[in-house]
Amino acid sequence: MAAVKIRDYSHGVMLIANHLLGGRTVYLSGEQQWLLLGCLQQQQAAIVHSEEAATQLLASINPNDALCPVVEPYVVQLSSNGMPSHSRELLRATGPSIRYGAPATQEANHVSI
Amino acid sequence: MYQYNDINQETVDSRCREFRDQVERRIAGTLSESEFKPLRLMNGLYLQLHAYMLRVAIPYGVLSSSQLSKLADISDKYDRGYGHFTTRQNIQFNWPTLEDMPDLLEELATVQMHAIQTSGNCIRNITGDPLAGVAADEDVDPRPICEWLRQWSTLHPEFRYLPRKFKFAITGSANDRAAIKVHDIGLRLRKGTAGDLLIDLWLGGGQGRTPKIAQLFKRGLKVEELLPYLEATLRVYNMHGRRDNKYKARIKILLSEIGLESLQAQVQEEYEALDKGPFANSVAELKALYSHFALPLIDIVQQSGPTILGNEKLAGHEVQRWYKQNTRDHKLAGFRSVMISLKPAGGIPGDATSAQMRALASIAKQYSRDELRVTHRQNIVMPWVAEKDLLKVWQALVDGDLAESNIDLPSDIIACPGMDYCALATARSIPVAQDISKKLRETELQTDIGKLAINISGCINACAHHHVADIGILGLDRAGVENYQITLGGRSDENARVGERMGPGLSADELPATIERVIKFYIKERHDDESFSLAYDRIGKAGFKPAVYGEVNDDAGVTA
Repeated sequence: MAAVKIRDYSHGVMLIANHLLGGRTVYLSGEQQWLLLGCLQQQQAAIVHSEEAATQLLASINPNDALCPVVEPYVVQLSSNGMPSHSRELLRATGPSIRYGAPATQEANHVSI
Repeated sequence: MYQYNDINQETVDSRCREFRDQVERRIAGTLSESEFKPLRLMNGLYLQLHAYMLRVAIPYGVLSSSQLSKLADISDKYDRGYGHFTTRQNIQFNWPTLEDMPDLLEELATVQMHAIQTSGNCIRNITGDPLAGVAADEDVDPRPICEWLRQWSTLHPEFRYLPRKFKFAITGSANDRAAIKVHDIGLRLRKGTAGDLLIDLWLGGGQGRTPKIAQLFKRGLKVEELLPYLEATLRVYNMHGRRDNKYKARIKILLSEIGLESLQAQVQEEYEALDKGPFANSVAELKALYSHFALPLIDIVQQSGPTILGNEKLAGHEVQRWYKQNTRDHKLAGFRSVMISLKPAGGIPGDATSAQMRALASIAKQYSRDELRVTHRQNIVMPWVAEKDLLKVWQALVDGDLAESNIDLPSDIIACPGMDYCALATARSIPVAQDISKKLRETELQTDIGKLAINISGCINACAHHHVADIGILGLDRAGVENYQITLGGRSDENARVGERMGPGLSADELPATIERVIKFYIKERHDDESFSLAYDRIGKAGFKPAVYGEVNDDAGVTA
């Protein structure tokens, strides 16, 4: 089990992971459901405010159970706006910061010979 | 190019069946994640920040049109309509699901492709000169040797659990376009005085947190000696490479720890003791491969046409700039190699949409003998374009948003996926590359600069080769904030060397102006057409450092 390493619990922590089947990043809700992190709604998340509670939250998931629907769970610190405080986890929540898959615009440059 | 025989095809097909069974057992809950993870990695399936990522092997960077079309289809059907070409001449898909993986791999197998050994501590995809077999400056076409080693290393039972991953790169030219000196083993193929094939083996190169330039380990191997000598080398590494610390497990560390002469002696002893029986037919097998890579029988006269440079109607037109920057001399008269940039200003280095992949496949089918190459600088090559077709090819590339004329120029930036995708990354690299390329485009600096490599890695693993760039940028995490270190003076060619770190890191916002200052300083200080690395040799770190940190006046001179 991954150790809990959180500096500041004042805005709470939540549990995130990857969904086994789809691979997408998910978070644990108060209803013990795994929801897409990209559609995070803070009021739905299971948020705790102490190391003891975070340890319990993490221990509630056993990724080594072959029937566990998620892999690689860990807890992340939240900031005052309810989003992950670290840039890495913030990117996990918001998705790539780039417009992927689209070519940059290029002026047509035809020539008649 | 090489076509699978029945054994190759059955090897890949059986692996697909095996992995389908493993995925089904994982989903059914009869395999745990700890049991399944090494199995998925053996099939190139990683778990990244947002989703699974599949890395597909493109052996020595050679692709057929039908293979690229299939990659386009896969990106539409199983991903999000694009793929990312990497510095190891592979392609990565960033959004596939585990459930789809068996079907995806079966589709790949229909065009003789797979993801085997694109992860794990084994011999990875063998990379090579993207102009192999067509370059005007080539001594030896390395492709048959590349294919020979691909077959030797694929599922080699002794080398499936090495201390760490192991990377080969191969060139047959004095002008190294395969970066062989920053690989675990780099092979330089050349001709002896009698016209026979000789192989120089460079060993112990690599990047990551301990960058090393390879040392000449064995000079002048004969072709019949190559496989047993490699087998002996890998065997010694397998026995003595460290397994207690993954940061000290590469062969470059073993070489550093025991020294060149000691390692050479151990390999030689192993080589002499090795049973050569299993290699009895290997040279005959190699000879059989040559037919796959024979020069085409072409009426050269029919390929020649009005040259783009000599056409007065085109004087000053963009197509002439494209010709000079994006085409290369060819082994055959009447032909050029066309290099297609995947680095439009503000674009994502190495990314191609499915539409672009199909366009490239179609153009190559019509004008490049059905063949393309992937370069380690994350671009594409059409290796067989006749002079008479160049204008049509250029026009087709323009129509596909693929005619950026910046090959080897500063905006031809290498960038890894960085923290936008990669679970190992400590900072983003793609947006940095986009901002710098936009800045270079704005200022039109490129036209004054000439060849200059800017490489951006999102972590110390150095997938983007930042150590060996003229200007290297390394993204790090400083207390949750992205921070970027600058190295200058590296190079990855036949005179490879590791760049020097300038000093404290910078924020992402500071980088475009910083790079602009460094380039302006270089332009001001260089002698005639002196390259960046030669200018750096002469001026040194102390001379360049003020340009990095803004301690220069408006005309890029150093302040007192």
